[in-house]
Amino acid sequence: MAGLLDESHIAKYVLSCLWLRIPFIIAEEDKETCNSLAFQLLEFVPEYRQLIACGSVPRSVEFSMRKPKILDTKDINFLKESLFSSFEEEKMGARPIQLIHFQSPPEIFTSLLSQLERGWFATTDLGPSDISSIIEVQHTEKIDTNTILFLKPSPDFILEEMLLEKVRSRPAEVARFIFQLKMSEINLIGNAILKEIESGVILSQVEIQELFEIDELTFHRTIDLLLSESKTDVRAYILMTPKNIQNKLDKMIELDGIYLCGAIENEKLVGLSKARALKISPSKLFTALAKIFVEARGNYNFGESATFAIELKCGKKILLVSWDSLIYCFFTDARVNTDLLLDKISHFL
Amino acid sequence: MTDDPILSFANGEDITIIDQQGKVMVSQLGGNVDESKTGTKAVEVATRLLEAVGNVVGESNLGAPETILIQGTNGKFCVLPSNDTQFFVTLLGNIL
Repeated sequence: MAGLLDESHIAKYVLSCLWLRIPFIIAEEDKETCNSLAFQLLEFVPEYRQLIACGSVPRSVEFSMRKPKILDTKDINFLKESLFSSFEEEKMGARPIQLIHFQSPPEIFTSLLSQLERGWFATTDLGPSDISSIIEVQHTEKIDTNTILFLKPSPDFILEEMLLEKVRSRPAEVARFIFQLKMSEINLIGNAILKEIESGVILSQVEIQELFEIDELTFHRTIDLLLSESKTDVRAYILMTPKNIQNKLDKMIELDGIYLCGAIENEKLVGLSKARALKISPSKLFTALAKIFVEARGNYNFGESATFAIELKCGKKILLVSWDSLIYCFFTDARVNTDLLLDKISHFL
Repeated sequence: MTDDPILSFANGEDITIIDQQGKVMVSQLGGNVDESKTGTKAVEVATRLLEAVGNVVGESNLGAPETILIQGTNGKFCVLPSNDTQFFVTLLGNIL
């Protein structure tokens, strides 16, 4: 059968469901082909997750490098109790689990899997229509003779698309490495963010992206995974970038001569747009200058709005413009005419 | 109108130029303004600004400031370093 990664239009759905712990089912009458796809997917279960295998677990899975924990029982109630307690332990810091139920019969779907909202996928020899009559299916995809049934609306899969593009035509082991590397990176970042928040530190989205050197996509995946794996919605503890401010900054950055522009609220950089990569820390530079600006304004009566302009000997210029409760910051070429720039910026404010 | 190019530049607005010792070099201020106090405060503010800004931009490996300007609807405060240790301050408009 074709490899999962060869079917990138389906792989992006499946891999994002697997990563975000959104349940799905692989249906195939032929047990071998069905298990083959499940075996491929095992390689993409994040390494840090506790793998639990139940049902008719193939020997290839039982003795695989991932060493899954096998829950070998026919007692559905016992299985249910064990899994529910494992999911509960995640909230207390235990490793998140990933359940795979092999060759699931109808009663497993009705009595167990349908009650688990996340962290599982199942294989079955039931037909797609039989499954749809037991459990609500959102949409289906075919890979060869397998049908994959997705139980929730499609998650955001741009990150998977990018990773799949990166691993295209690479050996399977390299693809696995690249995915696992990204998954581990995001897991470590998530844990670090949690620890910072628990210690009472308030971070903005821009600061997090800068501190961990990650893009917006990785940031959002980290936040989504914290919700999925530890049931913690950290959005309430992070100064997220307001969309309207980011939109303004994205328009301002297109003006000639601007390398960086950001917005500060309550001494925190809450939005940032870059025209080029620079070896400076925008949050450190802009927030420190904003503090100086606020203090200096207290010494004289400049009026309602004010601008702080610093021309540097290195041929660059820094501008801070106070507007409402925000301070907009710009790092520009020194040749940029300040008054002209301020006039253009005022159209976006 | 005045023949002094600096006062002419001020275009009728209040203007004061102060050296690093707080000495008022050029002044055209309305009302009863104590030039000595104005000069002392301007030098204090400018010294703090230069030091603070210098530290921040220095930490970011951006060198040293050439000029520092704060301007608002009421006027401008400008620090112009002339060399490593000296600077001039210009106050323009009604910001006192």
